[in-house]
Amino acid sequence: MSVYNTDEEQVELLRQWWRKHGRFTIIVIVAVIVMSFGWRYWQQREVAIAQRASAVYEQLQNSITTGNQSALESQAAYLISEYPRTPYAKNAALLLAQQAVNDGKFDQALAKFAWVIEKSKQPAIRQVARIRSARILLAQKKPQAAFKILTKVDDDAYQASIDRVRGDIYLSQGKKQQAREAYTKALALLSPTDVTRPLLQMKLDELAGSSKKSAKKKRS
Amino acid sequence: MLQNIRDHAQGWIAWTIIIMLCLAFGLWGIQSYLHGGVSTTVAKVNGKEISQNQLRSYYERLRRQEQVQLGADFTNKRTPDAQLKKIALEQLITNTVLTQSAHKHGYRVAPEQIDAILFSIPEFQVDGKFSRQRYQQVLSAMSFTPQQFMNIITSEFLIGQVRSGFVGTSIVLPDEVNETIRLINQKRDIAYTVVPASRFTKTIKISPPEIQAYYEQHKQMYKSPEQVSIQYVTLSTAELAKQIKVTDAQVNAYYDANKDMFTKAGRWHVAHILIKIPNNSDPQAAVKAKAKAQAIYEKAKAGANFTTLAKQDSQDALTAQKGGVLPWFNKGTFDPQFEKAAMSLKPGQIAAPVRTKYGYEIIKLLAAKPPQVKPLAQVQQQIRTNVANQKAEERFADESDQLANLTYESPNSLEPAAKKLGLSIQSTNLFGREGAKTGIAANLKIIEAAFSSDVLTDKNNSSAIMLNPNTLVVLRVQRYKPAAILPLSQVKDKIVKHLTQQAAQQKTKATGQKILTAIGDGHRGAAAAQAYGLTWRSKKNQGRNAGDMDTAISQAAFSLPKPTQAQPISVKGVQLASGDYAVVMVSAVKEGKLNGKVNIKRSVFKQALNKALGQLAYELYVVGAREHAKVKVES
Repeated sequence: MSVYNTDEEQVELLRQWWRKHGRFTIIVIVAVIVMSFGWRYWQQREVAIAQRASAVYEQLQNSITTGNQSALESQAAYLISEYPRTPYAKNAALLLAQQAVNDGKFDQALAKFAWVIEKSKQPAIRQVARIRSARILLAQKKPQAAFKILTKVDDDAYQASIDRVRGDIYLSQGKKQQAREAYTKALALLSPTDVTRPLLQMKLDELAGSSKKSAKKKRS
Repeated sequence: MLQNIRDHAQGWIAWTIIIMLCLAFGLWGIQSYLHGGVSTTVAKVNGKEISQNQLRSYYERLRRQEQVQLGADFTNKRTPDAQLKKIALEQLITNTVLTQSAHKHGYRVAPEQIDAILFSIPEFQVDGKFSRQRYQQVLSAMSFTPQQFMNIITSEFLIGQVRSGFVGTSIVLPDEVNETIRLINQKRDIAYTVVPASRFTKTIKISPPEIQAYYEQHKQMYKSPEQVSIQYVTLSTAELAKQIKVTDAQVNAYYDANKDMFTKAGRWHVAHILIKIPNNSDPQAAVKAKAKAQAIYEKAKAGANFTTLAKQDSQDALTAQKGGVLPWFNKGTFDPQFEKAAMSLKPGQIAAPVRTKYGYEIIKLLAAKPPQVKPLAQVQQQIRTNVANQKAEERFADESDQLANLTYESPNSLEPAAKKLGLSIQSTNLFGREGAKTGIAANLKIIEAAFSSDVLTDKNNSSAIMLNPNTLVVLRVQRYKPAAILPLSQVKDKIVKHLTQQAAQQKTKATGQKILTAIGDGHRGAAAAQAYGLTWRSKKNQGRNAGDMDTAISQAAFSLPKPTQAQPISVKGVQLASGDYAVVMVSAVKEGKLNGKVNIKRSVFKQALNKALGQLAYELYVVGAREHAKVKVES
C-alpha cells in the first residue's frame, strides 16, 4: 500500500481519479437516488390504495350490519372493479358469492370463487374458496368436479374441512367405506372444541352402522 | 503503517476516519435510548420481539378481565398464575402472528380511521366528546403508552377485517341444511336396562392388605398442598398520616395560602344597555357612541326607569326587550372591564359607560352574592387532614426508598427496617398457592411474591411490593410446610371407596354382558333383564337431547347402527360414570323433520350452521398462520 506524504499529493491523486470516473459515479448516484425515490413512491402509492380500499370495506361491513342490500352490492362491486389487487376485493367477491348462493344462483357464486382462487394472494382464502366451490358443485350433483377442485391444496391447515367435503362427495357416490375414512380423518384433525364436530360425529355414526352391517354380511 | 497513520493524524484522511468512527459509535446505542432502554425479550415472532413488559401488561389485562368475570368466585376459581402467564404469552404470540399475516397480505388502515375509532370510544369521552386528557388518564391507568395503545387498536382492526373475510362470507347450501335437520332432529325408539352398582357395593369387602398395597402404589395421588406463612411490614400513607401532628401555625399558613379553596365564588346579577360602535376604524363613530351612552347614563342616574331605557335604546338585541337583564354570572364570564365596573357597584347603583369590545355599556347592578370565605374554624379539620396527607406523601416517597434499601441490605430479616421506620412486623397463617380467603394473603401480588424462588427457596426478603400507589409491603417467609404425602389413616376411606367402586364396576359389567348375550341369542330384552331382577324400560321417539335419561345411555343409543330388515334391533352395553352398567337397544330410527313454523325453524338451523362453518374457516386460518410463523420462545 502506497503512502502519500503530503496533502497536495493526495488531492492531486483524487483529482485524477475524478477525471477518469467522475461521470460514471454521478450517473450511478443519480440512478440510485431516482430508484429509491421511485420505490418509495410506489410503496406509498400502494399503501394509500390499500387504505382507501380498507375504508370502503368498512362501509361495506356497515351495510351488512344495517342490512342495506343495494349499498352492499354496489360497494362490493366497487371494491372488485377499483381495487382488484387488494385483499378487500377478494373478501367482497366472497361476499357476493354468499349472496348468489342465498339467491340460488350457484353458477354465479362459482364464478366469484374461481376469480378468488385465481387472484387471491392469501392461501387460506383460496383454500376456503375451493372448499366452498366443491360444496356447491356437490349440490349441483357434479361430484367429480367437486373432487377435482379439492385436488390442489393451498393451505393444509384446512385438511379437516377438505376431508369432510370429500366424505360428503364419497357418500353421494355411494362409497360408504371411503366416506367413513374421510370423516374419521377429519374428526381426528378437528379441534375437540369445534362446534361443527358433533354434526360430523353424527354423520360418522350413521356410517359406522352401515359398515358394520356390510362387514357382517360378508362374514355370513 | 501505524507509524504513518500516527504521523499523518493531522491529515484530512485521518480526520474523516475519526469523524466516521465517532458517528458510528455515537449512533450505535441511540436506538435503545429512543425506545426506552432495555427490556428482556420473552419471544420472537418472525423476528419481531415480544418484550417482558408487553407480556406483563397483557397478563395483567387478562387477570383483570378474569376478576371482573368471576366476581366473588375469583379467589377460588382463578386460573393459576403460571397457567395464565402461558395463556397470555400464547395469545400475544397469536395476535402478533395474525397482525403480521394481515400486513403481509395487504390489509391496511389509514390513521384517520384509527382516530375515528378512538373518538368513538365512550371511555375516552367527557360530555359525549373525545377528551385528550381523559384519553391519557385512561391509558396511564392501564399502563399503556399512546403508541402501544394505537398499535393494539390497529392490530385489532386489521385482524377484524381479516376475520370478516372468513366468518362473514360463510355459505350454507340447502342440502346441507336438510342433512343437518335430518341428523339433529332424529328420533329413536330406545329400550334399556341399568345394572346398578349399589347391588354389589354392600357385599364387597376390601381387605387391609389390599388397601395397603393400593396406598403404596398410588401415594403420589394423596398429597397435602405446600403452604407458607409470611411476616410482613406495611408502609402506607394512611398510617403515616395518622402519626403526623399538624401544628396550629401550619393550619393557619395553609389556610392563608389556599384561601381560594375555601372561598365560595361570588355571583352577580346585572342589567345593561349597549351602544354599539358600528365601525371600529372610524374614530368619529366611537365619539358619537360614547356621547349617546353618556346621555343615557345621565338620564338613568337622574331617575329614569332603567328597564324602559334599555327597551328604547339598548342595541343588544337579545336582552333589550327584557330590560337589559342578563343571567347571573360568575367572575370570568364577561369582558373584564364590564365585570370590574359591575363588581364595584352596590345593588341599585349604575356605572358610568364602560368601553368593551362590543361598544359602550351602561351597567346597573341588580343583586350580588359577594364571595364568601369560610371561617377557619369550619375548615380546620379538613386542613389538618390535607396537611397531614401532604406530609405523609412526602414521607412515603422518602421512606419507601429507605424501606426498599434496608430490606435489601439485610435480606435475612425485616427487623432493621421495622425498627428504623417504626413499622410493626405482622404475620399470617399458613396459605397455599391459591392464597387465603381474606386478608393480605388473598392478594395476588403477595401470593406470587411469597412463592417466588427468591423468597421461598433462598429465604430472602421480597422486593417492595406496591399493593396500590399508597401502600408498600415487604415480606419474608416465616414458615414453609412442603407438600407432604398424607398418612394412610387419613386417606383410607377414600381408598376403600375407590376400590369398592372398581370392584362393583366389574360386577355390573359382567352382569350386563350376560344380558347382552341373552338378547343376542334371541331373547326379548324384557325377559333378559327380568332374569337378573332388572326392569326393562322403553322410550319411543327419544330425541338427541337426553332429557331425564342418563346422557351416556342416550349417546350410546344414538351411536348404535340403524336397525335393518336383516337385523331389526341393534344393542350395546355402556359403563356409566356412576359405576352402573347399561344395556341399550334401538329398534327404530325416525329421520328428523321440522314441524310447525317450518320456515323460521329452518332459518335458525341455517344460520347456526352458517356461523359454525364461518367460525371454523377462520379458526383454521389462525391455526395455519400460527404453524407457518417462526416462533421462538425464550425460556
